[in-house]
Amino acid sequence: MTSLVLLPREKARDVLIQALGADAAQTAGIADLVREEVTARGSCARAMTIKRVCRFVAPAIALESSTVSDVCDLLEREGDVVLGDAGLLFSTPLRAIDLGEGMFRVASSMSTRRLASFLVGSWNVVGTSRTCLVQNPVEAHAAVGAAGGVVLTPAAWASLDRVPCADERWLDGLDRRLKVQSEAAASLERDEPLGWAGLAVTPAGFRWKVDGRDPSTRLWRAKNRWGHWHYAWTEHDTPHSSPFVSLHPDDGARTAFAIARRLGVSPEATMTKHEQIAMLAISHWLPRAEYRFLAVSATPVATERNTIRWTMPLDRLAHVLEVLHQRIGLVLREESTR
Amino acid sequence: MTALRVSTPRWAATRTSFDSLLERVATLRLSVDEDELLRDTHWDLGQDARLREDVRFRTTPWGRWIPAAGYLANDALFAQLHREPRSKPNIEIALTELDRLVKRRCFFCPGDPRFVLEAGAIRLSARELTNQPLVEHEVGDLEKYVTHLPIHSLRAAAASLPAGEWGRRAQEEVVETIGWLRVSTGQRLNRRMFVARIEGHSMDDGRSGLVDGGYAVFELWPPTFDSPINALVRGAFNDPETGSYAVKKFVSDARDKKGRHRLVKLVSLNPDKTRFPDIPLARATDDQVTIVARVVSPLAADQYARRPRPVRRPGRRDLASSESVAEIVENLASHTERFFESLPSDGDVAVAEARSSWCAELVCLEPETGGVHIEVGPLLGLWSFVKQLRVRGAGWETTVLASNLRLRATRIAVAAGSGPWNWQAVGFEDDVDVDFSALAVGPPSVESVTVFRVDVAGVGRQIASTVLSMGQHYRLLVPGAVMASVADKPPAIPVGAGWSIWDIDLSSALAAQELMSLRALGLEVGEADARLEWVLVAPAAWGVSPRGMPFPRFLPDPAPVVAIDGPSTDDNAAATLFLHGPDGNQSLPLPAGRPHLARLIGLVPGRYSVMVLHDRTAIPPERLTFEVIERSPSGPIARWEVNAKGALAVSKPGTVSVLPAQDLAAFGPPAAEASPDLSITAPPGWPVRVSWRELAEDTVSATHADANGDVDTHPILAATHERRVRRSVGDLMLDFGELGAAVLRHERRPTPATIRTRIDELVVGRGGTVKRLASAGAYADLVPIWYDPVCSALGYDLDAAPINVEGEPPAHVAAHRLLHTERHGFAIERHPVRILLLVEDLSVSLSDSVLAWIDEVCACEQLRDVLVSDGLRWAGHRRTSRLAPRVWDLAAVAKDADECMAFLRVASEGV
Repeated sequence: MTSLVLLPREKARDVLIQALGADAAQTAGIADLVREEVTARGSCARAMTIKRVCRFVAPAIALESSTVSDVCDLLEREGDVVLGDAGLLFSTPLRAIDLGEGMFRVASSMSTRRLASFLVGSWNVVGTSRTCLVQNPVEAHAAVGAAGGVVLTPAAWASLDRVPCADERWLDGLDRRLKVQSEAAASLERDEPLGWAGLAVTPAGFRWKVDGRDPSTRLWRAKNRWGHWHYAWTEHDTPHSSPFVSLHPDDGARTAFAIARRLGVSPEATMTKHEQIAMLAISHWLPRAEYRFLAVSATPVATERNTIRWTMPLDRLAHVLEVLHQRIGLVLREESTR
Repeated sequence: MTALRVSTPRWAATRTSFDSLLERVATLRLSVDEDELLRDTHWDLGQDARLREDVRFRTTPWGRWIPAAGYLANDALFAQLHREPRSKPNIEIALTELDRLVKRRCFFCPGDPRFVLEAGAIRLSARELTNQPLVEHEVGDLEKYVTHLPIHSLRAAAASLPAGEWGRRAQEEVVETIGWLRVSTGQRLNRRMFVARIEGHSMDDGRSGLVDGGYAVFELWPPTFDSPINALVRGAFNDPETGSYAVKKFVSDARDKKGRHRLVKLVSLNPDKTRFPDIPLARATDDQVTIVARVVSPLAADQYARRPRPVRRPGRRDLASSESVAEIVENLASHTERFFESLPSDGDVAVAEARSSWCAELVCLEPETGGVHIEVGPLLGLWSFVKQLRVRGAGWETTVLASNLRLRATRIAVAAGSGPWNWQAVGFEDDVDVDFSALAVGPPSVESVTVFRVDVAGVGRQIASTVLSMGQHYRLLVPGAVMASVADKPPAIPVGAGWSIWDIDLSSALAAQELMSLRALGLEVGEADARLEWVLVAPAAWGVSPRGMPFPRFLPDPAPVVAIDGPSTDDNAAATLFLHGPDGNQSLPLPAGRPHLARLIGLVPGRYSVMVLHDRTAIPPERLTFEVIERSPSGPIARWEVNAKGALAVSKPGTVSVLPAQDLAAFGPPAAEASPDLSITAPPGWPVRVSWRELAEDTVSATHADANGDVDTHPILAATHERRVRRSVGDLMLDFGELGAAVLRHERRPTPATIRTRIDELVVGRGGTVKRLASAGAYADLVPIWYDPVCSALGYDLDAAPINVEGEPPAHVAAHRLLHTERHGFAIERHPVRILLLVEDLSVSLSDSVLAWIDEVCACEQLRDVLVSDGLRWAGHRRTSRLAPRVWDLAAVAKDADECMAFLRVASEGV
């Protein structure tokens, strides 16, 4: 029987947690809020989505829009949502990456609660990353197919065979594009001036410098008013005063590693070895393909603002590091176990 | 009797001649008419007297008069009749009771249109009554079937059993009754009679009185009747409106010897037989059709007791009385029905009428997704021959597919300063009959701010008011001149040509700075409007109504939660939340204060509207319409498809689908519209990386599928046009990431004719320059403008770097490698196949030193064939040969097909 019932404000948080199946104050909960909003609408403007999510939970908790914005970035890298043209976020189909032994890594804009309704298993959610251990992989394959999704091999998921390495050839390609397809200087700034910061590669890592520009700087980035990044490749000066090639943020990340390689600087990750496992801490924003490769080879255990910590069986470590080194020049610094 | 004491202050105006009149009026119970009172006593005697000259009289609101000391009891009686709608009080008795309460003599003014005074008793006039029957649940035995009849639903009556089986039981014990209704039909009532509400329009012929929602008297199980008869029948048929029972005209022929009818038909009186067909009954089912009751007579509104209209207070809504609530939920139900109502198809509407309803309006979306838009459609009755519409503004225009506008509301982004906007049918611009003037949209004001109120779907709809309400969300379109004049600049976002949009959400308290900015823009902030918002429980999906309005779709569980905000109320139940849906209507009086949260529990699949109404009419109602669905709709499908001139590739995750080789140049140059030769679909928004691969892979562009899953092939074809036309082989790769990739193999074999055409173009366009530069030996200048394109036409890539051998080349000659690209299995490889020797003059034989140098270069490069050119003249040469070569002038080659063929045999590759 239908009825209207007043909901006391102090119960709002309980209702939210119950409906979401997660705590909306945590990354996993915020991620599901964004996923639900994007899935329900199919596509929606990123800035509007962030605003809506904050309003949606306002009776229960106060969410900062910058927090939701960061989670949007993570979800995009995770493959759960796609950032399309004009700042639109799109929902994505279900892709289940078969890691073997009944373990699937899951990418989809569907919320974890909804996924769990038809992909039955033991779910492990760390930040925006989701894995599911199922009893019967055959049934899982069927369930994924019935939901319009696909089951992928880890290699297909990462698509490393089709994605260029971050190397000299990549930079040559950018130069070729700059020669034949360059965009006019300042053409990204018709609506608003952008505060361009140039990439400076230092032994300590990547630094984005706004002031004291180095004439050799070629990769630039700026955050627009909607909170997403523009990346651009130029011959010398900023895209404000020099023709440039717009880069997708993922290509921007790849270019940063390629520049580091050209300069002979190796971006580092740290590792501590335990009995059977290695624990990696990577604070660089990896290009998507390499991130996906790592994500299907290792298990995320914690996310902090800039760093994701992964665990990995020691027997897999050498191969993973070799691939990451070969593709993006990442090297490992081993720290002693305390 | 309460005596009327009249004490008049000495200063007050009185008229002595009115003393006796006052005494007479004071004994009455009804107000008096001035004309009747004074005509005989004063006016006919020539005295110009008026009651207003005497303070002992006062006028009623209806122009009649009572003693000033009396109490006008109309409002008290009106309230009493609402409290006790069944009563029909005697005026004398009612006023005597009131005398005691107010301790003054009470008067009734019969000029009050709210009442009818009949035989000393008063009742509410027809305008104060609803059409709803005044159902009484307890009536005396003497009233049953004398003045009152039971009221049933038709469904309940149809389910009744024949009267013969009732035995001694009363009708109301057999049929579940709603209550009793006083009727006055002028007919004698009997114990088989009842009243029921007519359902449906099938018997409405404009004369029968059997209209949908109207009431009629029926007689259950009529012992005898003559066909035809209007009756309530039930049986094995399916009426479009009511199902297995219906009120119809029962028509049959005479019974045969076996007592059976040959012809039985249930006739609808409504002449619209398409919607209300007659129901012919097969003989086999004849026995299964039963006449449950005959229609005795329809009831006109004045033939049954009706409920009074709710009392309305100025500026207030009645949110409590059952009548008012019934009216509110009825309105909410109509709103829900209209919201989801399907649009009539072109065939269902009068074309002229449909076209007259066309309109377009300016709306404002968030600046990130384009800001100012024109919203138009659906355009019912749009001419079928119109395929495209053009919207034209000042220095701006775009085209839209007519099919989109015909079916649904569409929004088109426009530059704010480019109005006014007018519409034309592409190809019918001069046809005066193809008129789109109704869709013209005026420009936003350049002198003031245009205000858009953002609705629940996030669309800003233009409003005329310059007073913003707290609790609402607005977008303000600010012209450049206005912004320039404002000292306190708001945080508006520029949208081009000086215009900017300020997105301001007044759901929380306004900062002083914002208030100042609003005032500077000529806007004020008024009282809060009611606001509803879905919170805490996310919808499973959003849909779009036939009229283009988005609405959420929830699952029944978890129960949706709506946040109610707006003006704060001091009293409980000063605002009420109403819900209409398939399971009936609900209301929830809200406690004092704001904001509130309400859960909608126990929803069943169907369509709903929820509305908050305040008791102050100044606060407009706020509604949300939504749907409850049984299960979540499926999400996007992980599938892409590429169709290249009929060759199809579909997604195979992790693999690359290779399409058979074809000449991709045939896809043509990029046109304004998408190429029909190449179509690409993918999940909505899906990224597609486009690259061209020959020896190396070049990323050409990165694009996305649109919201429908279509990838715009125009930029792909534009970015690859040069390569598709100029290159003989290559792979156009469409990479869908983890969903796989498609490779469109390009193989282009030039024909002699196309090469001759190209050479002709080059000779005509650049021949003069070539002659001039060649005579000066400026090979470096000629390579890019002449040798490179000519070699390309002949099937080579010219290596721009000259070949270096030891020692200075003789006679200023220069040698370059000619490379040829070809496919070997899956790989594309490029190898040097000839040498191009650039000389100053080919009209004279090559010197021995030049020939020897060529031999040396050929030996170094391991090649045998050489093309020699001085610009327009070309010749073939083989290593170690000392024969004079045949020389071709390209101007002549371009004009003569045979010459061209002979030249190509010597000079081309892969033709």
